[in-house]
Amino acid sequence: MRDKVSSTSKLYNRLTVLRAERNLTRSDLAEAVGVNYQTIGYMERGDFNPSLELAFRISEYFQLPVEAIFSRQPFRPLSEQVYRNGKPDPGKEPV
Amino acid sequence: MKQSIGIATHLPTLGPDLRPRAARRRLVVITYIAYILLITAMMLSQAVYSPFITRASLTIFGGVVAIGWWKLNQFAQSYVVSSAHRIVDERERSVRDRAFSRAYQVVCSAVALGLIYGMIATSADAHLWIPRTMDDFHSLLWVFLILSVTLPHALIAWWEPDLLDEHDLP
Repeated sequence: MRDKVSSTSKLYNRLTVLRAERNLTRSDLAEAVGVNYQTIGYMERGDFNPSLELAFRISEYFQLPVEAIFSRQPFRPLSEQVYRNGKPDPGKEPV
Repeated sequence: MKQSIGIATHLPTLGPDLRPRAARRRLVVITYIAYILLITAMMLSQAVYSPFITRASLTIFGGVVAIGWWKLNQFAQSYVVSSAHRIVDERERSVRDRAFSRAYQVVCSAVALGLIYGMIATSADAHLWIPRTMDDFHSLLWVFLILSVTLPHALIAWWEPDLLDEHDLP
């Protein structure tokens, strides 16, 4: 009967990717932001929405803006974003 | 931003591994079956004229309930309820608050049902069991005490999903 985060209030996040990039365990991140490592797992699975304070603590830890870590819309895969950013603008003449 | 709180906790290794939810749910079911059998044994203790059977059944069922509660309590203390060793984080606090409020609702409902049963049982033509002696009232108090003590931990054990490994890298 645990209240699951409903689909309308679900907050998407990039915690798993950010942890992988920095080679951090759940325990490392949990200790750094002052929560139980299970709470990190819950957030990654989308079962728990962090408070504003915790979201800011996480963003300070990763030194990224909050909106780069949390979003109300699903994130596009990073690989896709990198590819699109690296692609030349089709309307522009090559120099 | 390092903080001294949020130290990862470990389940004691004594007894079954309660990390999988299925194992915890099995324990909850066993505990409450023993609880119902304990109540039945208490209610039938006056009808059964063998003190040995009465004592043996009360000891066995009471023992199972006590061990079940101890294990559930250990789980809840280690993961979400206790603030004895560290500061409880916001998720743990919400899980704990929800468990205690639901347990309170269930205990209040049980008391209300007991009152309704009492009103029906004391009506003139109903031949239902009603507590008459001090022993009966004593048993009833035990029933409510066990329910209110075990329920919050049982709810937490029932709800929490399979626990994750703290050293898991993505």
